[in-house]
Amino acid sequence: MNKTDLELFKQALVEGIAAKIDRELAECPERVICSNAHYGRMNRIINKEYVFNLNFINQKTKVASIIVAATLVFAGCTNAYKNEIRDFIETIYEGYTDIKFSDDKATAISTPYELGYVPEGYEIANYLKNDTMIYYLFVDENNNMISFFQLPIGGTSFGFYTEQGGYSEYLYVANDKIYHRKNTACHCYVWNDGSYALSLESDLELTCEELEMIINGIKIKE
Amino acid sequence: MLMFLMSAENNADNEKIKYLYNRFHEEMLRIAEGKFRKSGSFNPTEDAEDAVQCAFWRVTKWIHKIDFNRNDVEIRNYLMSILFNEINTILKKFPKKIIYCENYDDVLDNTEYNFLEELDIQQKYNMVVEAISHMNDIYSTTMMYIYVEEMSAKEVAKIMGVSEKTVYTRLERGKHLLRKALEGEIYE
Repeated sequence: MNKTDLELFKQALVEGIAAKIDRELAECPERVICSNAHYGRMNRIINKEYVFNLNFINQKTKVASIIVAATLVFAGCTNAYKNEIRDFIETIYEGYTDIKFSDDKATAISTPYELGYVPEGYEIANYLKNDTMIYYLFVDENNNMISFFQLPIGGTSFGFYTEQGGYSEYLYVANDKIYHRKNTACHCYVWNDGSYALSLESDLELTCEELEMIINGIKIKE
Repeated sequence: MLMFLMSAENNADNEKIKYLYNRFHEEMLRIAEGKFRKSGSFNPTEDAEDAVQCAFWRVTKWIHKIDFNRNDVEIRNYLMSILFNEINTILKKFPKKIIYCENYDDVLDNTEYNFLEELDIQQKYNMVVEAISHMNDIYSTTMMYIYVEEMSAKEVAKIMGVSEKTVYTRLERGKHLLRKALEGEIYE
């Protein structure tokens, strides 16, 4: 590929898109009067309050809210003995589902975890830690990613876009009840161990055996 | 997919997000409201708020992809591309207002060709810019992600919330439309 042509094409894209934006802005009103709620939501987003419960969709889209009880239909994996049912609060919006465990406020993570097992071929690529979140990213040679989050149970919720299709189910793995969401891009697994909210996000679907080994392999970071 | 603010986990990222907010929030709202108004939305301001909020959430997730050494025009292009994607997502809820076709079978061209050579961009640079400026957002932003941001199809799929196949087909359709525009046949 001719590099000069490529550089010119990049420049043309930048100029062309900028020209379109300028043209559209010129046709727009000088100012949009927004609701206070909008500024409140924006404030939460830009000030990184670590409020994972981002209910920033306008309430008109909220179509139903349900408390998920132990009577849910469970699917897949083992249905082993469970010491404790740790229920989810699932709120379903149009095109969006919110999962949380508690309405309590967030507290700092005092016992950081790490994974003792990841599927073969994955190596750690990133690690982030702050008071209310620990994050590991593992990547394999094909750039498939697995990420692991440890979060406080209070103040944490997980949001999923659902309008692109996919499906949700509950799994029982390693004595934990897990919410599994498959979207077009990846698989998400969300649960809590009684102390922390935990999640795995994987480009590839994890088998029950892999999930069980990952969950059983979670240990306190030394 | 997961709506975390994990990307904004450090102060430097947070400062960048605040900068983007202060610099571009108003323009994003105006653009979004204008597009919803044209599309016949019953409440363009509320839809614009939703789109801008979702766009900023995505920006927090992809903040590492924004090179703040670039000029504001390029940064604005990137932000607006994310906003356009959110607007299109909301517009899809208005069944009769969709203005583009997602069926690409008629334009997919399996023959190999050198797209850039065919454009003859050295000679037709201004025409290419003009054609891009009239192209539907979903095609121009897909090309921007691929060529300017140098993102992989997989990354583009994630940021746009579509499949990789859709990314490729949008890219091909964008190229097709660009060629047609240069031939004087169409502006879309």
